[in-house]
Amino acid sequence: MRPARPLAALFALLLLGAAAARAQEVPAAGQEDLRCLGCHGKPGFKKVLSSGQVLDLFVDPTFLRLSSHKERRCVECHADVNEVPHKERPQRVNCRRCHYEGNTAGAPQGERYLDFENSVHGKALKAGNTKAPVCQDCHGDHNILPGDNGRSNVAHAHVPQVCGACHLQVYAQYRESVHGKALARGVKDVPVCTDCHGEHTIARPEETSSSVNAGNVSNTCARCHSKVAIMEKYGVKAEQVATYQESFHGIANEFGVLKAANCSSCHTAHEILPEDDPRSTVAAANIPGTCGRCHPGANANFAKGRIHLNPKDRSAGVVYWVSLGFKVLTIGTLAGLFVHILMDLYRQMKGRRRAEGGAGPAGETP
Amino acid sequence: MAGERGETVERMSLWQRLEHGLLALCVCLLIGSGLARYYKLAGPDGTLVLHKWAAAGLVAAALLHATGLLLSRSHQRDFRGLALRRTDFGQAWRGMAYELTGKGEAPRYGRFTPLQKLQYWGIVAGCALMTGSGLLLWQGPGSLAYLPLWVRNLVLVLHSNQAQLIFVVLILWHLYDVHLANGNFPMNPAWLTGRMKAEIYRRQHRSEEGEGAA
Repeated sequence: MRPARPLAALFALLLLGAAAARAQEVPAAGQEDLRCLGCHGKPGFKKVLSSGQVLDLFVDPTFLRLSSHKERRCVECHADVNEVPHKERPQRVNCRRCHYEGNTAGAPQGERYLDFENSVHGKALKAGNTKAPVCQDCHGDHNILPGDNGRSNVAHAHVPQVCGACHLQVYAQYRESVHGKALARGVKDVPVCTDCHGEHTIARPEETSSSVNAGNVSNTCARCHSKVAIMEKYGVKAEQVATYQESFHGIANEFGVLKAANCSSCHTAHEILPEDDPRSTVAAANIPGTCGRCHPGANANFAKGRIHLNPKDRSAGVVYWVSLGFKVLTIGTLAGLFVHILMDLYRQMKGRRRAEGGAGPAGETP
Repeated sequence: MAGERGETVERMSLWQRLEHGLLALCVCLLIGSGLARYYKLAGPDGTLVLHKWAAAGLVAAALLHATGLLLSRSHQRDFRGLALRRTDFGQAWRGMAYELTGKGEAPRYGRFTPLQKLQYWGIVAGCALMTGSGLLLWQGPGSLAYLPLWVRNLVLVLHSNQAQLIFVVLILWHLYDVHLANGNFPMNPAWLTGRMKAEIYRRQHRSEEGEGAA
């Protein structure tokens, strides 16, 4: 049995060698990531381009461990990296490799990428606009987290900041608005950019598919402003939606007259302020100017009364009482008509009985 | 003049029928286009154009009526007959009591019953109010050049509420009273021919034909 020992040892060595070679060919996830992080995991790892621009190439391993992609290897996203260290700058990561309807990679199912391609951002990208945002610009890259995670870039509270990275002026206006201030106070009901504009389907306001198109914006605002449960919490009247819809502007807008005023025509899109704020476009002093944008020559009379008037509300004053008076009069008149009809029926019935009894008075006919 | 011709009595002259026809057409168009706008059955462009043309027709009918009151004897006679008197209220009450109980004496109304008088003056007041408020609304926000917004809001509420009342009085009650009730069904032809059956006239007015003519 002795000669068998060296053979077994040789066989074991061969097996180990084969295993080691295999391991070098396709390294395990942890090993590979460690190799990448050997450089990218060092704080301060950067590259100075010939233009003088400094590229921060540090990837915080903590972010990677917490991200939605923690189970993914670096090369699954950076698929064009096939050697370490890589000589070429890797291409921009294409999220569509996994993010499509029917994927087996475990990514959320859906065609968000297609939605994005048809969005204002996707179209700009296709047109060659290098500043157009791609997935990573909003969702983050190595720190990517689901939207419902409070630490995510696209978590509700962070959305204005993310969009504001490019839309600086709008972000500044939003932060000063009633919505922006409420968000800063931690109010969760408050709308952020994506609540009005959509997420992956964002379209130019001129496009009819846009949720902030002149024909759609009042319905977009109504999604929150018609909900009594939400509005009551903040002392805002939910009836403003109905009073707009019943107004000349609302009806005209509903029937496709897009030059008719919608919510943002008067309240603005991003600088929405309460009417008691002197900077508000709907503050009494500013109403002539606001109305004057469509009605040249608008004067102080435009501010001497309510725009969102509900005649059924006691606070409407004389309008409420006149409306109530007419309601009583109209119902009273209807009641009079019914009494008239009932009396006619009674008379006919009586006349028929008399006729059957042969004692019908002259002139009485059924 | 309400005169006898066979079994019918004259109720409306040709002038009055033209007035009535124009008024009826315009009121129907006004109510139809107004309700379509109010209940969002049609867009404001088409309904407003129709509403404004019908309003112009209504004003024309009112002017035709006013001219008739100045120039036509039949208009002047009917206008005197339509004047509200204190006795009208007592007659209306006695008429209702008689219809219900069959007791007492049936009141003799003459050419116009108290209900017809009430409807006439309701139409006069309604036309005046609707024309005045309508002219103000016709100007759109232009009226705010000289009136505060709250007045325009009030006028808008008056206009739409008055329209609903007119719908009840004219479309429902007047049509019922004139064409469905009192044996007139399916229609009192007076608005087309100017004449109605003497028998129905006598029963409704409890007077001989021509008796009510002043």
